[in-house]
Amino acid sequence: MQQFLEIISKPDNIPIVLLLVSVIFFTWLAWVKAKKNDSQQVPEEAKMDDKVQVWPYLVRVEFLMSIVVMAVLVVWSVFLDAPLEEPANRALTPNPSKAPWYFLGLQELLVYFDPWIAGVVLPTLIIIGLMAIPYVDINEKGSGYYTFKERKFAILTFCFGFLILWVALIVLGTFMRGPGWNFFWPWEKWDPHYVAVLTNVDLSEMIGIPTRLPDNSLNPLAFIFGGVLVLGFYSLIPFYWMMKRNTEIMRKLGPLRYTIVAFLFLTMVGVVIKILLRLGPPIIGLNPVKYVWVTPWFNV
Amino acid sequence: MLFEQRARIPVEQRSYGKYYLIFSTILFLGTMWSVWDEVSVRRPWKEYQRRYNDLVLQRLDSLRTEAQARIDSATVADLVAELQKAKEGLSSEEYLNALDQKTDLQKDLDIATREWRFARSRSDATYYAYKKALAEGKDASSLRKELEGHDADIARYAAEMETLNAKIAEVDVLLNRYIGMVDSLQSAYNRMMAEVNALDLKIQRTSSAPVQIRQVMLNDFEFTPFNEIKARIDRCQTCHMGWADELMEDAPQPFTKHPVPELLAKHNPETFGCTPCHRGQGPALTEGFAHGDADRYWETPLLRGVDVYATCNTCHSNELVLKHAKPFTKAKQLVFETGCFGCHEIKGYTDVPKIGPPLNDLTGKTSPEWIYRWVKNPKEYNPHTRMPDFKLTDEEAEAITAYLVKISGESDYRPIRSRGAYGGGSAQQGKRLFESVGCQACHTLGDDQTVRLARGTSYDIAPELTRVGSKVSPDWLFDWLKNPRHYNSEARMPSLRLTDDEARHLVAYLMGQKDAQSLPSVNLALHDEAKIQRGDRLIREYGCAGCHAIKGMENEGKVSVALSDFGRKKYEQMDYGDTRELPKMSKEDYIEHEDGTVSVKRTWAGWVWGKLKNARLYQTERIAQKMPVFSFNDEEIALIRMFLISMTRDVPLPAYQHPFDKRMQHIEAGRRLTMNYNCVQCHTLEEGGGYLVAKYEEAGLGPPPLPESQGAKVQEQWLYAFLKSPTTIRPWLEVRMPTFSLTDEEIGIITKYFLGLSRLELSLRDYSSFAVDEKYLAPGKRLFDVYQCAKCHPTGTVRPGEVSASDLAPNLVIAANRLKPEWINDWLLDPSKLQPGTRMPSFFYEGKGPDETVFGGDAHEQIKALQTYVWSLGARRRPVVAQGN
Amino acid sequence: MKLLGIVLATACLGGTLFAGDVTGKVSFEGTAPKPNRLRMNADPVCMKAHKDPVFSEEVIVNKNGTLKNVLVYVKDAKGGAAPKGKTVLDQIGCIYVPRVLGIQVGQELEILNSDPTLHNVHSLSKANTSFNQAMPMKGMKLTKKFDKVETFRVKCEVHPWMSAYIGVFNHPYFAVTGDDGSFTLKGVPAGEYTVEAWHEKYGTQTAKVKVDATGKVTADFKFTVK
Repeated sequence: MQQFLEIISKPDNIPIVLLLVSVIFFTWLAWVKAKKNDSQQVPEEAKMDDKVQVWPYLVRVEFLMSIVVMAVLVVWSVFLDAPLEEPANRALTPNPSKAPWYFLGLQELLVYFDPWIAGVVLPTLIIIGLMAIPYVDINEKGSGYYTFKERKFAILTFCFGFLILWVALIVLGTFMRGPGWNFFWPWEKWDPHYVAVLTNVDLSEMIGIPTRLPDNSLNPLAFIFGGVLVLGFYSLIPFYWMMKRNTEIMRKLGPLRYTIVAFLFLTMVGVVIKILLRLGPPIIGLNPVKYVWVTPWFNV
Repeated sequence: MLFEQRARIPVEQRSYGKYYLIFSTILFLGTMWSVWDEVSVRRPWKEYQRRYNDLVLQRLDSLRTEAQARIDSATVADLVAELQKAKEGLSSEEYLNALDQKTDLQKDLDIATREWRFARSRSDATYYAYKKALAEGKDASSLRKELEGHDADIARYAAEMETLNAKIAEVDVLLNRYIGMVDSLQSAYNRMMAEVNALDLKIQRTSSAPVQIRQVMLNDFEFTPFNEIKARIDRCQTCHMGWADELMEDAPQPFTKHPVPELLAKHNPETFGCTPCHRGQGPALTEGFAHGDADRYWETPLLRGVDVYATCNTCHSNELVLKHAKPFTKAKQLVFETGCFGCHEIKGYTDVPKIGPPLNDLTGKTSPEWIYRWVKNPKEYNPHTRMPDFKLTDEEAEAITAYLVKISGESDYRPIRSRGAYGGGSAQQGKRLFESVGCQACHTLGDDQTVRLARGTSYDIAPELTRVGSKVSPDWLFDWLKNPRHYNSEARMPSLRLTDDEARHLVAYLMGQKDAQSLPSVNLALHDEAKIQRGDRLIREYGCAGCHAIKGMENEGKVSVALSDFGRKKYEQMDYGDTRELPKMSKEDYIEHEDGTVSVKRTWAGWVWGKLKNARLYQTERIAQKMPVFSFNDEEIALIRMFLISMTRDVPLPAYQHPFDKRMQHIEAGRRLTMNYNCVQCHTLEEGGGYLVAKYEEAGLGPPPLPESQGAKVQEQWLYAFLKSPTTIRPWLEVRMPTFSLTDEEIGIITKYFLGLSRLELSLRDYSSFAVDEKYLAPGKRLFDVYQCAKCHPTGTVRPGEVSASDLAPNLVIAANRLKPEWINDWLLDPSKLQPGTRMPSFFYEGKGPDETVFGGDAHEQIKALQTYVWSLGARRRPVVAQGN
Repeated sequence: MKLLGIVLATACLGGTLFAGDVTGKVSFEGTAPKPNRLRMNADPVCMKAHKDPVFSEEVIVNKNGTLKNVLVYVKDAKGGAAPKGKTVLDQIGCIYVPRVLGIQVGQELEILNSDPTLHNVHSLSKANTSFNQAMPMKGMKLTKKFDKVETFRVKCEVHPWMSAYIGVFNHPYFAVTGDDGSFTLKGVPAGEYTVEAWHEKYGTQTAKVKVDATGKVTADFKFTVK
């Protein structure tokens, strides 16, 4: 525990703690305001129709805040020095080797996916997904004020994708990944000699289909099994959903936009599913899942 | 609440003045705070510099008081009074009048001088006009007259000047009498106060010394991990200001004077910095960061205690001896002697001979049972052996014995003499021989620990012989004593030129040294092929061939890791096995508890200590360890650990390194050879060794030391002949210089080693043709008698009891064959300079000899005479080189 | 300058005004070892110099039960320039006279050879530069000065029985006990001091004394040998 306190009070980790606090605060604030707005006919923001001049009424507050920020930074600089570490040495990497904090979520994904997915495909999809938002978000409601009722899907997706997949993974990677990228609870000491269990198996093996044949070549059965699962996940679920819940919005989206939204959303969910497949089975006494789909060219 | 109230006020009417005041004040105070923090809190060195200057001033003041006290106050008072009186003379009427007079005269002289100069100028101009008129054929008589008038003026003014000068000189005599008195008194006063004035100057300089960062910058010092050249900046001297100041000998840190100024002579901190030796973070200016303790990312924190000598190895890894770094020399010797390099690759220890004996003919020497006993636990038979304990099981020991017995069977070693030839010796005589001829230099026997204690190591350099009778066969021992090279062609044991009878006595004595321990009564299955196979595997696995020559294992490599970067190994890379944890902050590195468990500090230093204390300490059920258990004492562990700290790849660029030139190579080769043959057991060499001397009440009864001037002392031909076949120089000594049967190459190495230490080159020279000047012979003889040289240097045989043997010196008859003539001169002039602590006194003092009737007492002439006479004592004989022994 | 003179004069006077003497004696308890007889037959000159048998002077217990040749000195005092006079160490009859002597830093030590034989004077000093000088002729003189505080042995290699001890001090407050085992340290400035008594065989004894203005203080030492 003492070591955990040491870690969170390291000069380079303090911004992350502040980030965590501010993210929780603003999420809470948004929820409170949204709840209030949703419970009444007219949003709070709409009531405030009186307007004031930017100069001087806004600028003076902004200037005041800039003074506050300056004061905080000056005092901060007295207490916390720049966190320099040992000189870089190609013969000796630090353990654990960590990416800059804002990439730790991606680095965490490397535990569950092959580098080409975690390091190339997923970041690319994140950027494409963010770029696609204006084109696929056709919901006109709930703009300009806090609400949940009008934008359930968008807000839930955001909360899931940003708060859980991004922020939570950063926190996990910063504070709970110790030497050897092993997981440590806050009350555990980061032991460089820690030995973790390594018993991952492929999903097909869990149901009795060996991935490799005795001659070490790929078992076609396992290949087909994985392929059906992955491709089915991407095609059958949106199809089923469309059949079952053919709502107004889905019709408005049209097939192309629906496919894009479904693909991005499913990828996001897929990431979580893969994480759960790795973390879940040991709880009920099974081996963690290594790959869902093994092909001669790539593994998922 | 507050917010709600405020929210009711329209935006336009809200006042922010209060908030601006509060936050601006905070910002202002914060800024002040950070400035104060930056200027004062983060610069504690300013305070250190002030304190240092205060300390210096305090000490200078007390020195000044002492200096003042040394001056006789009455004399000073007299002098001051006289000076005062003399100064008063400067305002006397006579002096002032004279001064006025001089001023007036000077004024007149100035006028006269000017007139004289003008007259000359006029004369020159007129002369020009006169000459021109002449050349043009005009009438020049008036000009001529004018010219004469000018010349008369010149003469008149010149005469006037002369008169005035004479008058001034007259006045000056009077004035100078007054001034001279003041000047001479003043300079007398200054002379008396010179020391005080010098101190005053120092005091003034110190009190006006600026408070500033003092840094040394070493450009192009080393490489970064990315092979780029990097400078090193040291600011240590910003706080450690007194390192060179004699006044700071006993000052507290950080002002203490450097304790080893000899080292600074070659590594001047002003140009070499501090961190190359001491490590630490040079640019840092606060204690914790500069020493590297507070900065956990600083990879090379300050080395403390004996560890500081580790950094010597970064540049001096080729050298075994560093004169002013005794712990380093000792650590190097430890590694050399305990054979770490047998299993580990270590920089500076390539091509070192294996430390153990060959194991190919063991049954010719001892019994399989003894081999088994030994292999199982060597320390049980000989607690001081260098052989470590491999903690073998019975079965493993048996297998290794089987293999060794098998290869012995293939050996063709047989003692030269017939079986039983050793018989008939007297143990009593053997004991006397053992204690006199020098066996004890290397071998301990019984309770006599003198040499072992003098060596101060936890191990012996040669086997202890207390139980030798239980080990060897008498036939082998006889053969070995007569000629060790017969059994082992590379034996370190020399021949002591024992006669057959002497050897028989020694065999009788040594074979009587047995222990009560009966050999294990196990039935060894020595001829089982599976056992032999297993023994083969075990020997390879444990790396026995690292120290021993073993048949069939000639090409085995080193079994363990190279230590080239071991010093940089991190805590994370080390395994602590089942030991208990000592936190990083704890003072001790290693604690053995009463219940048998061990706590080890979780640092590099703690791990190494545990490993050297007990090499199997970190062994667990899963992790097997092969390194055998040594029995180093704590001092040795600290030294070896210090040596291991130096195992990094960080080396400064060549410009900062000690050149390993030809001379150094010769010296180093000699050091290795003399350490290999244990010459230092008997002879003091480079301020080390000479352990056997501890056995003698008087140092003069033991083997003589070999000072650095040895190369300048003896003739190369003589040294060659002596090492091939030693002759007697000091017949009163019982201890013998043994015959090492050195090869010509080895003798060459020793010769060059001695020459290198004396800073001489090897040259071929015929000493028999050294010309002596006959005219010096008779005075030399006279001085030889007057100075009573023969009192200590006998020329005939010595009657026992006359003089204590330790006070005798070599017979000078052999000087001409043995010594270099120049050395005799140097020696006579100042013996203590060539051999500190020698008993030979200096006869010549300040260029004079005591007897002033010869050459008027001139030291150099007298020395020449003595040299000539001593040279003439020896009948010129060519040194005879005996082959073999 | 006048003022300085006055100050200096006052300081000097004050030094003598506020000072006292430390006196005492060094007693010996136990049985003294039998002195070894010195065998001088190695050098006929030495033999001839003595009619009676000569004994080692290592331990001399006086008749009144006191110990001779003990060097008594104030340990932590400072002061005074070296006196102009010199101290003499004589070699007579192949014996050093005196056997133990004290000398001030910078004071001259004259070493004299009164024997018509070869002596060498070998100082075994560590802080001061060690010297080893031969004196082959009768009447030869050597002058030495020491600049560090130290007590060391002087010996002669030609005559191994010869030994002398020299104590170098940076103050004049030292004395060597004589035939009555008493000593007086004169004019010690007022203050508290540690006084040490040193004997070549029995080592050092210490006593604390407090010197009052113009007072006399007694410090006795006792060497006990079993």
